[in-house]
Formats: sequence, C-alpha cells, structure tokens
Amino acid sequence: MNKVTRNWMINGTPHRVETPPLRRLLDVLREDLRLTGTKEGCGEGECGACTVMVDDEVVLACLLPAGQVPDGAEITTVEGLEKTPGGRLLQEAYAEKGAAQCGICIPGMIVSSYALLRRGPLQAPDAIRTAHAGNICRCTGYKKIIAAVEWAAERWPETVTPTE
Amino acid sequence: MKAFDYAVARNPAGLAAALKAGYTLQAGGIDLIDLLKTGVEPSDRIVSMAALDEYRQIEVTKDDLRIGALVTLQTLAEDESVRTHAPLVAAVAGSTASAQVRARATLGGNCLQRPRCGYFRSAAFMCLKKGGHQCFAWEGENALHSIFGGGPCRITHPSSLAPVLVALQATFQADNGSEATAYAADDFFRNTDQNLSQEHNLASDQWLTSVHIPLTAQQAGHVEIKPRAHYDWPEASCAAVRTAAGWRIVLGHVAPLPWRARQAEAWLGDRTLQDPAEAREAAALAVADAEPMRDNGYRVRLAQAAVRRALLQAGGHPAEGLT
Amino acid sequence: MAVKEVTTYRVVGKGIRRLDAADKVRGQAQYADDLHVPDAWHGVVVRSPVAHGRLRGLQRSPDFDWTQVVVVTPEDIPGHNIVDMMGRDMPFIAYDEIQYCGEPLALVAAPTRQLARTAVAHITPDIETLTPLLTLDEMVTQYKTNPPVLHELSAKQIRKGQGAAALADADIVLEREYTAGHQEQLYIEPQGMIAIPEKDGTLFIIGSMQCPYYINPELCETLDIPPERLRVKQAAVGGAFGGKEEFPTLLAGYCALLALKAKRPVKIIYDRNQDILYTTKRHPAWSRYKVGLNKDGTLHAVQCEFLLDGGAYTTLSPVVLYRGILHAAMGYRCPHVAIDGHVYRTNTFPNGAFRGFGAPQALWAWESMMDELADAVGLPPHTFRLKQALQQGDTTPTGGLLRDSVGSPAVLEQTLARSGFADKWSRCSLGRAEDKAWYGIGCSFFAHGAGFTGDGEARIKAKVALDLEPATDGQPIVNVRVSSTEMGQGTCTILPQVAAEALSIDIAHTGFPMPDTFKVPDSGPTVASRTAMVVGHTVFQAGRKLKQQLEERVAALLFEGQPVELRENEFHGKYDAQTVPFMKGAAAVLAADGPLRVYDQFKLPAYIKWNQDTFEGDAYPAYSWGCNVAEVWVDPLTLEIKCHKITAYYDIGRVLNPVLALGQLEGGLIQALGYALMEKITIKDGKYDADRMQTYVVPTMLDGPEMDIHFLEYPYADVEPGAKGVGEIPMDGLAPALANAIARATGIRLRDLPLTPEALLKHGGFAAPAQTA
Repeated sequence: MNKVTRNWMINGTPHRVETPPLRRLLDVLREDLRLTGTKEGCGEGECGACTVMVDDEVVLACLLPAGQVPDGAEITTVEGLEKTPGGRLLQEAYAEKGAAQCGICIPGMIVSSYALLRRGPLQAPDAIRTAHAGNICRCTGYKKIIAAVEWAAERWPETVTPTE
Repeated sequence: MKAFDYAVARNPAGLAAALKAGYTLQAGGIDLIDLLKTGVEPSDRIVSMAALDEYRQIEVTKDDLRIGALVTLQTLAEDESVRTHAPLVAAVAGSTASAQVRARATLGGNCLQRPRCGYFRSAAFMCLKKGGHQCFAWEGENALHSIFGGGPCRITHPSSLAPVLVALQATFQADNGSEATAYAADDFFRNTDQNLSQEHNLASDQWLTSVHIPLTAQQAGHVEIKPRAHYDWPEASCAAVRTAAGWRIVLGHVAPLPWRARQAEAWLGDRTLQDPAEAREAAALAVADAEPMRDNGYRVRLAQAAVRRALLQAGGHPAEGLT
Repeated sequence: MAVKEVTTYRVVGKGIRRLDAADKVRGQAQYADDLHVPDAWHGVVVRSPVAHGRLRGLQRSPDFDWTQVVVVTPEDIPGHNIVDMMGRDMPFIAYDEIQYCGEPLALVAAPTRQLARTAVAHITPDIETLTPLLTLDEMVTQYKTNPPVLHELSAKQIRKGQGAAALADADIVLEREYTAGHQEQLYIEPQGMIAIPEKDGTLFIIGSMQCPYYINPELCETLDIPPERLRVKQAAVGGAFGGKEEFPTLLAGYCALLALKAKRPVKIIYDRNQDILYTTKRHPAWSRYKVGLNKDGTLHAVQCEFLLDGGAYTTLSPVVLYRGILHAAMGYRCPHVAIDGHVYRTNTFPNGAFRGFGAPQALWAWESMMDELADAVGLPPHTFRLKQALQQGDTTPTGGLLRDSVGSPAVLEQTLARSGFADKWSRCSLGRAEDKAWYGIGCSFFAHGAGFTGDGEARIKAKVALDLEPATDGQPIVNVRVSSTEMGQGTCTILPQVAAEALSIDIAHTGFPMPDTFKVPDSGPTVASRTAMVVGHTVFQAGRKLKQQLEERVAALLFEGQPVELRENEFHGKYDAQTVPFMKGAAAVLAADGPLRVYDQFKLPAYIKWNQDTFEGDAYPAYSWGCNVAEVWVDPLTLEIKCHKITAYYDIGRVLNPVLALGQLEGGLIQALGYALMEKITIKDGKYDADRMQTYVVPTMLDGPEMDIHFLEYPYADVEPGAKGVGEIPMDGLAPALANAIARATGIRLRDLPLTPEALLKHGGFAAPAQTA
C-alpha cells in the first residue's frame, strides 16, 4: 500500500511521519514514535484509553486512520501535558485526589479533562460527566476523577494563561 | 485487513472521479476501521471527503437551515443557529456517543452509518445483507432487531439524527460532480425489501452534500431511550413534529429505516395535544402494527413510551421518565 | 463492645498520595505492551473452533512457508503437558479431548503479529465433534434430573447443629432459587506477557500479573526448568480484579514454550476480543435455599445447595467454592445449617478468580433470601436482620467464634440510620399504577472473610523482606520486598506506609520496587483481601526488626555506644539531646555495613482452629463487615432501573489509607453496580456472545449514583496496625440490595442476575403496553 507523509506537531515538537494512510494513529504514536503513554484498551472506540487531542478536539487514536490527520496538525498526548500549566495542574489534581488507581485509563482520561477545561469555564452541571463518558475506568468508580477535574477547574483561571 | 488504496479528495471533481472509479466514500471515518477489520466493508479502495471544507458550512435562509454533510456532531450540538432553528437536532447530536466520537463524527456519516446488527458485523455470519441467503435474526438472537418494517432483513437503522431529520421534513442534498439531486425526507432512506445492500437511496456515484431543514415546525418533541449504557445507541427513539400540514411522528432504532407512525399521525390530525391523553392514545396507535420477534417484545414497550413522551414534550406537558 | 484502643499513628491512617501517582498521571508507567523488546516475536494461539470434541490431528497447509515461523505442539513441551494448578486436569495444549471453544491446539510465533495470524489461518484442526454442556441453565437442569451425567470438579459441605433435619421443626419453611451469570473482569489493560530466554539459561517472564509466585513454580513442571532458573517480574498492571490471578500462568506458558523453541523473546498481548473470549470470568452460580423460621421471625435452619459453573477445568474453582459456601449463610445467628456446594464442568473457558471469589454469588442469593424471609414472617427487612445479626461471642455457620473486631451489628445499625431506611422503606411504590416513577429502597448486610480460608495463612507463612539499600540517587532507602503486587488497589503505598510507621520514618524514605521473584521472598498471592492484614502485619514486624538493628548500629557508629531510639525520623540518644536525622544514620550504616536486609514471616494465631475436611472451626482469622442501602427509581413504562444513591458503612479494621480505601469501595461498588444491572454474557454456539466492549457494557461516568460511604474501624487485634480486608467486600452486597430495592419499587422479585428491564417485563405480568395508562 502507498504511504503518505505527514508533518505533525506532536506535544510541541515537529515530527515527520511516513505511514500507510489507513494505519491507526495509535500505532504510529506507540510503535513509530514510542509514545507509549497512549493506551489501547479495546481497539474499537469504546474505552477511551487511546484518547488524544488533534487540533483542540479529543479523538480516539484507535479509530483514526493516520492519513486522515492533515499535515500541520497539532497532536497532544498524555506525554505532552506536563509541558503546559493546565496539564501540570491536572496531573497534580489527579495525583492529589487519588484519581489514578491502576492508571491504564488515565492517559486518555486526563487528555479528555484537559480538552474540556481548555474550552473555558464549565457551563452545564453535568459537563464533567458528559465530557468523560467515553472514558471507561474500571477501578475508581469515577468519583475521585470527577473530584480531580473539579479541583483543577476551580484553579484553572488563576494558573493558566489564555495563550497556553 | 487487505491492502488498501486510500485517497483524499481535494475537490468535488476529484471525489466524483474516485467514486466513478469504484472507490468507497468515507467522511469522519469513525466506523471505517471496524468495517474493514470485520470484513463488512469489502472495498479495498477508500476515498476520504474530509478535506472538502465546503461541506462544513451551516447557513440559515429565510426558509430553511442548511447544514453541510461534514459538520460534526459536536458542532451541531453547540452551534447557535442549529440550537435556535433546529433544537432537536442540536440535542440529539449532543447526546450521541461520546465526546471523542462527537468530535469526529459527521452529520452525513451519522445518517449513512451501517447497521449495528451483530450478525452483519460478524465475519462469522454471511448474512442476507452481505449477500448471503438468510437473515439470522429471525431465528437467532433478536433482542436488538426491528419490530417494524417486515423483512427480509431485520436490522434497525442506527442513526440517531435520521429520525429527527425525517420528522422535520428535511431534504437530503446530493451531488455527483455534475448534477445536484435533492431527496425528500421520505425518499432518502429505504427498507430492506427495496434494497438489501444499502440503507439509503444515494446512487453509487453520489455523495451527500448537505441537509436542508425547513423552518416550519410549530411543535416538536424528541425522546431517546437508552436502558443500558448512557452513551450507547438508543433502543428506541421518537421525534414528533407538527407543522401547518399536521404531525410527523418518526421512530428511530426500531426499523430498518426511520419509521413513520402513520396511524398515529393520522389520528392526531391537527390536534395540538392540549390533553395529555391524546399522547397516550397516539402512542398506542403508533405500535399497533409492531411485529416483534422472540426476544424484542420489550422494544414495543420502549417505542410506545418514546412516542408518548415525545408527544407530551411537544405538547408542553411535564416530562415523564427517570432523569 | 471491645473496640481496640486507638493508637496514634504517624503515617498509617493518612491519605498519603500513591507512590506511583506521578508516573501514572504522566503516562510513564510501563505496562506490558509498553515494554520495548526489540527482537521479540509475536505469539498467537491456535484455538479449537468447537466447545467439545476429540482432536484427530492438525493439518498444516503446504501453501505456507513454515520456515518463517515457530510452531509449538504438545511434542515440543519439555516437561509435562499439564497446568500445575488444582485438579491437575488441564493440559497446556490440548492433544486429545477438547473441553472448550478456544482451547489451545498449538502455538505460533512469528516476527510480526500479522504473519503469526496468517500462519494460524493455515493450520486446520481435524476434530470429531462431541456434545457440549454449555450453560448454567443446562447444568442445573441436569443437576435436578440426572446428576450422575455431570462431571464434578469439586464439592464441599458445611454442617452445623442438626443440619437440614431441623427444617422439620420450623414454623415456616421457604424455598427459593437464584442464579447469577458470568461477569468479565474487564480490566482496561488486556492480558500481556513476554518471555525472554537469557544467555545464562534463565527464562525471564515479565508482564501483567497479580501473583509472580504462581507462575513460578506452576510453570516449572511444564517447562522442566528448576525454580531458580525461572525469573518472574511484574510489569505495571492496568487492573486485574482476580482476572490476572491464575490466568497469567497460561499466557506465560504460551510465551515461554514459544520462546524456548524460537530461542528468542516472545510476547503475547491480547486484544480486547481475545481477552473477553479466552480468559477467566466470574463463575455463574445457582443457589437453592430451604430456610426454616420460628414464629418470632428468628432463623431456625438453613439448607443451601450452591452450584458453580466451573468451566472446562478445575483451576481455582475449589477455593472459589469454599469462599462461596462459607458466605452462603453468614451474617446471622442460626443453630442448624446444611450447605452443599458443587462445582461442575461446562464446556466453556475455565471460570476463575474475580473480586469476591464466590462470596458475591453466595451473598447475592442469601441477602435476597433474607428479604423474602422477612416478607414471609411479616417483618420489615431491617427489623428481621437486626433481630439476628451476628455479634461478638456468636458463632458462624462453621462454628467459628467471633472473638473480637466485630463490626456487626454496628455497620448495619449505622447504615440503616444514616439512610433513613425504615421511613423510606415504608413509602416505597410497590408498582402502584398511579405513580409516575416507582421508588424503592433495599438493604444488604454481609461479612467478608479476610485472608485465606481456614488455615491457609498458616500453611503459606507469608515472608517479607525490608532492604535498606542505596536508591538510584545513592541515598538510603527502605525498600519493601514482597511478592504482593500493585494492580491499582494501593499495595505500593500502604505497605511502605506500614513500614514507615514501624520504623518511625517518613514515607519519602521508603520504596516499593516492582516485585521480581529473584529479589523478593514469597509473601503469597495478591488475593483474598489478605494484603493489608497479613502482609501488612508482617511488614510491620519486619519494620520493627529493622528499626532495632538500625538503632543498634547507629548507636555504635554515631553515638559511641549510647542507646539510641529511632523516633519521628531522627535517631535520639538516650542520655543526651543529641539527634541524628534518619538519612544520616542510615547512610552511616550503609557505608559501614553495606545493604541490610531483614525478614519476617506471618504466624497465624494459635487459637485459630480449622478442620479442612469437615469445614469446622474458624474459617477466617477475621471478617470485614459491610452494609449497603440502595435506592432506585424504576420507570413504569420503560421499566428502566436507575440506582440514584448508595449508602454504606464498612468495618475493614484499621484504615491504612482512607483515600485509597475509599477508592477501593467506590470502584468496587460501581463494578458491583455493573454486575447487578448491566453486565451480561450469554453463550452462543459455544462462544460468549458479548465479546467486545460495544456489547459487554460496563458503567460509565454517567451511570454512577451518589455514594455516601463511611468507615467504622474495629481494628483486628492480632495484627499491626489492625487492618482487615477492603479489596473484595465492595463487590458483595450491592446486587441483593438492588434486587430488594427493585422488589419494593415494583412489587416484582427478580431472582436472576443481572437485573434488567426485560426481566421485569417477563416476570412482572405488567399490563400490555397498549393498556398502560
């Protein structure tokens, strides 16, 4: 099969990727780039462990053909969060609240949190639950994850500049 | 997976050429990898229309709301003009699947997605829809199959948006690179006795460009029932819309296509549902001709509840059901 | 009531942040599939397409170039073709009779997964098909009509007093049957393992597992390798819940057999579909109770038949059965008890360990039965329970004496009070036609045995070590060396907390390296709610030993022989005000003596008496206690069931880390919610029909009810710091509490798990939809 070339900004670093276009973004990240923070839990878009951001949107890297991610796209994975004040705040929140147990869902979960909080103050009362409904956690019962996101949301405007 | 050719259409002409050459069309790509993996999608040549930004527009005219086929569910849920002029569409889009899926899934892809039938999706079953000789649902596990529409194939239509669009009498705009075609709401989806291999009337060289929703609704209600998991496909839904021409009551997820409850529509006539008892009466009529199989009798009950509650909502009555 | 006097602890009892939190929130934790083994081949299992049959042979297609891959068949097994678990009835690779769909017939490894799969597609088994027995329903039908045709994998009974004969004297006798279906653990990290043949002849196994000391020795016989040449190390584990207790031995075996033949590393990472189809599940169970009551509503006699669907082979089923029957009449005073437990074979994947280990199935039936009994004598269910809840000094169904640390009936009383149970119970809907939504409330009350059954802890004698050694930065660190694993539940934090407590040092000076059988003694498997109680206690004792040794050495090295006490992170001289920080003292010891290791071993208190043959005596060293109150709304039209609130109290003994313990309870309750209301697998053509996450549905963030959870601490006096168990108990009581609540909401008693709207429709005799007003 033909290969395509893509130039992506991954976690703030430019990467040039050559891959068959129908290869999953997940495989490009994990196998070619050794960014193994992003996990495969189900391979069919149900568990959310492979959640990454492409240009401000949360996507499922296990469903997304790499060829569909355009040249110039900005990709953020769990490994990129600590480069941003918001990401670091969320990491602190998850650790402080005991939101990570086995931890396998966390890379996707925390990217969903990051994408949600970046969009501005939470509007709907169930905004956190709705935004994370596609991220399955089998350990925590979700309560501590919700507490962590709330904790980060309360602190978000003070610590995160709009230009982040 | 087989070896694939994958092309990205840069303009409508390129897309038209690819379709004429036998490529299979893909929009948001949510379901593609699964269809390829399970062998349901036999094509080895895929063309993506994702780069065609002209299909991502939302426009309001004096008569209608025009939504491009590539507008994502997330945009549908959040866009002010959609929320104002087609609140049912915004609400359904916002409650479909997960945030990750809503970010990529498109209006067109949602309407044209393939059925979720376990037999259809399993490589182990060569079912009628895939060119085999038998629909396994008739004798097999059929809790998630159709209660309306007869056969020969008992899929349910998986789209959450389609019933709403049909109720709103939207027109489905298609193109093939040289000629635009508008399909009326009632002519776009089709039953399995008309065609087994696809669930809509687009020709093989056509693609969906946009959906036009007339701004004529005077009363509207919509209910989805998801007894299992909140983010999964509903087991029954109903969109009920009244215009000057009367009611359109469309059931989702219970037939191979968005299913109009014509008996109920006729009975309601031009009633405005001041009396909640009218909603109950219409709901009973809506399921009077249901044909459940061994395991899916429960869906009749759900369909009836969906009609009743969509009508109560349209009539401005207090909501029923668990919140 | 004897509540142990509360000691003031410095580190224990604090919600200290997990030691692995930083790695996990940064995506840096290394799970099996993240480990980079550059020259590893990929293994794939050739599986039986039929559930029961006789293998005549395997045909390899000549169209495939077999030189590019390695194929392992039974002839390639160096030792015995047997999995060394209970029963010893399971071959590693089937060679004659096939007992389940998916049973391994051969193994293939290739440089890529794709090539390995292609090779598998070129192998065709020739099988004579035999009739399978597939489901619990079929098994129960046979049990009732023609039991000799069933293949019994295990059986055990309990007798107390006059047993079933006492039913004849009862004023009221009620008979009921209950079933529970499969449950899939659905850890989010699928099973994964890597076997690496080392140059020195050692075989190194690393992967996702709960119990490194299961794989070694269980694989030694198969591989014909001495234990000292089999090194097993745990990678980060992305959830287990019992699913990575015994199964990893199989996966490690597949990898090891392929690696030995290929003479290179081999890895197998299951995808979700394989993981659901070809790994263990919770045993489906059937219970039949005949219970006799006195007129005053007290229990007189309990007769229970408890059947487990074992799947194809014995594996751990006997122990699951034991825990099941030991909980099947627990919680209440009753003079006469007869429980008969059986595990029978079905032709499905062997069922296995899953959080609760038989107790959730038993308690599902027993706590549903309690409500039905209360109805039968006309008492409210809370009154009925309070009347006869076990208390200190009472005896259990096996005659074990509840000596101390008995959170009953306090957890029951407190939960009922906090939830406002009595009042709410009297206002339930009972399916009233005029209600727009049906409200119901239900409760359950239960004990969960902490630690191994009976004298198990006496036999295994958990061993732990503490190492004072230099950390990677050269600074001294006290590493906890145990085979108890971190799999999300917090072992990597609570055991260092206990060590720091015993030593009186800061937790920052402790560590928990990933368990590696070449470096850690055998503290037993990470199962049975035993880690906090048994291993925790042993770590505490080791900590005290290390403290004493350090004090002696620091006295000699830095205090000129003056007696020294290590207290609150400093060495204090006895006679003067001189103090030395722990790190300085520890560094001095390291410099002078090199690394220091202390061991300790668990000793079961001598008064614990247990007869494994008659099942009489103290079945467990101690019990945790819990009470769940569930509140539900049921939609009269759609019959949808929504649990909106859970109130619960738990006595888990001393709470070592309240944040982590609460995390166990919250997570376990949501897993129990899934078990009760949504998780369902049936068997279709010998295979599980819900074989992917789209069809096997578990709770999402939107499904969780409000949870009001509290601890009542009754520390276990025979261990320090007095923990009992928390891991499994949240799984025990929610299903019956929900069934009881649904019965109060709808008037319909459901006796099969999961509790679904379809079941309400089927059993409800509700008006046809068209007539529903």
